[in-house]
Amino acid sequence: MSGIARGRLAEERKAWRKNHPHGFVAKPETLPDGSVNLMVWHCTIPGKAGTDWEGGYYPLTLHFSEDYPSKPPKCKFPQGFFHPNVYPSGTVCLSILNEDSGWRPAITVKQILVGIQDLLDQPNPADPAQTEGYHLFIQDTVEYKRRVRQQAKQYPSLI
Amino acid sequence: MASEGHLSPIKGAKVLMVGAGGIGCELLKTLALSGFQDIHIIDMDTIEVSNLNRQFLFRQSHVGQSKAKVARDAVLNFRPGMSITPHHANVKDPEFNVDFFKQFNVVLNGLDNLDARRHVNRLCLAADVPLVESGTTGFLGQVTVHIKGKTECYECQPKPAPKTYPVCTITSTPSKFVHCIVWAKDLLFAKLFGDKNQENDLNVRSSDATNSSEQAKDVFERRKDEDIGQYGRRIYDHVFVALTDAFSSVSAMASLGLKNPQDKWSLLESTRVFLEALKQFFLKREKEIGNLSFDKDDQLAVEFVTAAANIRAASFGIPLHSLFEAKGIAGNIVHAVATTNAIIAGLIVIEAIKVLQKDTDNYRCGSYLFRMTYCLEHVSRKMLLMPVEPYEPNKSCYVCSETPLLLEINTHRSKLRDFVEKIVKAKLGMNFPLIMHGSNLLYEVGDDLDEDMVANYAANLEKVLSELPSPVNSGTRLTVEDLQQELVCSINIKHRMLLNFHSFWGWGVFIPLQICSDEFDEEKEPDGMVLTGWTQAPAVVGNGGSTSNARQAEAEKDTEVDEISEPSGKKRKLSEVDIPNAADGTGNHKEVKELDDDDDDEIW
Amino acid sequence: MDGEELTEQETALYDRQIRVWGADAQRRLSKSHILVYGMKGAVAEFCKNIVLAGVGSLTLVDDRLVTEEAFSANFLIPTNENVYSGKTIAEVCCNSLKEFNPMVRVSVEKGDLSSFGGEFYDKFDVVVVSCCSVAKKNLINEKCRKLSKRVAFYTVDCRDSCGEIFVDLQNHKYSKQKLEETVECQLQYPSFEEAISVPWKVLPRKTSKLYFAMRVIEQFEEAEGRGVGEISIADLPGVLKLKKEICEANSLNASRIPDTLLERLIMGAREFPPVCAIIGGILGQEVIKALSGKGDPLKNFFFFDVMDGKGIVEDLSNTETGSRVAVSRGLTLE
Repeated sequence: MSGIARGRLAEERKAWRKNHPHGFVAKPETLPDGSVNLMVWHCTIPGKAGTDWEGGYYPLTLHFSEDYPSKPPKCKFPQGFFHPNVYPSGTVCLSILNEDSGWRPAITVKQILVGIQDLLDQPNPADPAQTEGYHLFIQDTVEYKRRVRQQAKQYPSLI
Repeated sequence: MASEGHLSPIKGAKVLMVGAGGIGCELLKTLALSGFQDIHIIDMDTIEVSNLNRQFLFRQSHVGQSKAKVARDAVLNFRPGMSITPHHANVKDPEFNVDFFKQFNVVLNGLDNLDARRHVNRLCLAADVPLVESGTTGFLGQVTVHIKGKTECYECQPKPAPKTYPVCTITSTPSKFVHCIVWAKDLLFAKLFGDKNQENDLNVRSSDATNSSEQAKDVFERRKDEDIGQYGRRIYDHVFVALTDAFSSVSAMASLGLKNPQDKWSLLESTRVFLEALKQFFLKREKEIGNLSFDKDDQLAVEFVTAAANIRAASFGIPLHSLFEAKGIAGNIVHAVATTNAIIAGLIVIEAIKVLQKDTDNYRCGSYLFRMTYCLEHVSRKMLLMPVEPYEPNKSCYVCSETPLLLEINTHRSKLRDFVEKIVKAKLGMNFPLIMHGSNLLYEVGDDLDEDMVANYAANLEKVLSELPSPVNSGTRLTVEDLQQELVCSINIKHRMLLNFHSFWGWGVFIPLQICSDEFDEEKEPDGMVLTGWTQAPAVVGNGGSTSNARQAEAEKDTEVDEISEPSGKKRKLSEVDIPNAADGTGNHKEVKELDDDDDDEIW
Repeated sequence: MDGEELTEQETALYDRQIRVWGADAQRRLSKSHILVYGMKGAVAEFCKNIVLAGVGSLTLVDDRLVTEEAFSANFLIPTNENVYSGKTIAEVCCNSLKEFNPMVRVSVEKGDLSSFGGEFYDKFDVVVVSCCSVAKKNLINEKCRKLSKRVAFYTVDCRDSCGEIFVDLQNHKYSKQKLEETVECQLQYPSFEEAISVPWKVLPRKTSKLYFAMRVIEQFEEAEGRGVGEISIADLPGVLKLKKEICEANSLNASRIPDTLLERLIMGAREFPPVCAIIGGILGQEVIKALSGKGDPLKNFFFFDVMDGKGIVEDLSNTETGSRVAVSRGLTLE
């Protein structure tokens, strides 16, 4: 596999271990056979305080490819996750994660996770990725907010 | 140089000093007088009485206080306008990361141990900041300059590791006094007063046949209400080969009356001290027993170890030593004087100024070539201070170049734990390693890891390499990094079998002899692993023996100066200058071309 | 300090250095008395070293008042004007030095050293002079040599980023370790006057250029009636002319003393602190060796120059009778 991807992922791992934003989790996946895979990271994004997302600790998986960091990782919430910019598969649609748009190799894992946290309470109406989340966000604010708060209860802190 | 208007690079420079001890005090003073304005100092130690003979910025009233802080206050007295920032901390702490180092124009080391020096070397390479290294022991000293890409890094030439002794020499066949010290300190003292749960190789020859069936552990325990004097004599009997002459005339109540630490004790006196010291521990310091570790400043501990070592020495026909000498060996004390530190500090500042004035294109700055300078004890070729041109970087240096290392290891027998302890930590000097096979993490360590990962890695440690979740076999390339040091190594694995008769039958498999590859030489390669691309210099005896058990981690106080001897490996020098053996001022050296003076226009 | 054994206090304080030179040497140091004249940077360093080493006493002579120039390379002088105002350099340094080691008696002597008689010098074991004319150096050296007791004599001078030390131990007996054995040795030292009288043409080719350069400047200052260091770039033509004359008179090729070196030494009014530390350190080591009678002392000149980074020992003690160094005397210079 690519030495560049491996080297950069090791750097990201070390940087995260030494210092990361409070409430966030990001670690390479541990498989049943005991291997720890740097290409897939299991993360947790806390909902921002003072928003409807507060209290939720949302699981996110980062899938890195051999072409990282030239190409961005694929970021996925659980299937069916409720948010205007998240596909039914869970894949996040965000400009900085798009190699044709805002992605730059210098963007760190830290910046990705914080960017996604920002996105939670600040959806982008120009990038609909799912019908339900998008329509409710545009047409029925009250119901949208209720759904968000309900989802936050679905993902409590695991500590 | 003084008149050449060098002042502005100095005034604007930001300097980091690591160490505020012997060299540090002299260095800070000279930097201040030379016009430096902005200095940071890192030192984790506090001031002790034995420092005061040379660390002149400190007074008796400062004993116990932070060296970095007191040094700074003292210098501000004669240069009040300076900015000196003290850090009472360990330079290996995470706060001193690459970004921290990057803010400095030059780093000046005044350290006394190899581990910290390697750490700083690696950070300076990662931050691309020039490093001026130094060391002194007694009348010997040296200063070296390290600039990434231009000169050797501090680790391009292997440094002698602290001396360790084979276990059997310590427990059964001592031939030197230092072996007796190690026995008395790391085995007997630890057994009697240290953590009882620690493994201890104390191999006892009992002179009393009736005790031979007892567990070793029970023998050393003081029985309930056992008279201390009796306990002492029982231990004495058990531990030392019978020395009836000495023993029979001992009076348990005799006072010692041994005032002068320079006097060599007789066997009788050593015996008395042994028993008296043991008694004192139980009478006055009972609470500490079970938690004690040897401290050279603990007078009673030093007396005990000296006495025990002397008695053991006597039974093996080794000359006895004074408390003063024994303390030096047991405490790994480095002998030190102010003058050498002052000279070395002057040389450091000279190189630092050159670094600040340097021409960015090459490492010559005007007519001032960077130098390594050796301060000799005896005049050699008319010189007491000998400058040497720096060497080019060693292309196989695993620290500053990128050449992979080769590790020959039995991948079916050696566990990951062996690899981590004996190679990654012991030889590569990494304290918080990350070990990867491709994109798989095999091992990490640190307080920040969560329980699951810790358990996972702990399980990995116990697996043999070929059975790891990401199997390691011949041809595998591993990458090893350190969390703090910014150092990355690649290691190519080559499988080698270790064969002996026991292995044959243990495996229960018949293996035709012809297939067997080379065996690991049990004497030369007792660990069953051979790492190449990394040369280990022969270990030299420091001021004292280290641990008798290779597994015990011990504070590494090595000699402060690197052996001034032929560097091993190929030399890629810029001229043919050779370094003579400084120990006796003569020694083998080739025909030397003297460093020419730059303004030498001799016609004759 | 006065008893035969080292006290417990001394043993604790001097532990690390006793491991270098032994308890015996430490005892001898504690009974030694040092006289120092001319408290410039290198001498201040020397004083620090010798006080830390634990000598019996140190006497300072320097009646100049403290000025800003004084503390440029001398860390013994605090910058607080309230403290130094009205005091001599020796007085201020004395107070600082006392703090380094309360067991050493540090004191000040005032007056002209050249006028003191033999009974004054007899109180000391070591005399170190700096900022001295050649005439004065010779005078003091002779007073030391006339005494029945051996008084070691040293000169030390730093100019620009160079330094020179001269050593006169007269007849010095000492011991040294050679391959596990103790060997007894003896060295015979010439006086300063005898040493600098060795004809230049018999000196080896590789003799340090700094030696010659220092002698030229010495002679210039003497001929012009200047104080030591009272010289500036305006004097360069005069110095070069003098150099040429001296070289001719001594059959020495003038290129042996580079003009650039002379220029540096003339222009270097301010001392260079790193060189002061190095010279003060070497001098400290030498004095300790002389007092303890252990280890090869250097004989008889030491030179250091930042340009080549070498610390060189020159043995200028070829005392042939008859021919002496030809010096230019009584010539009028432009």
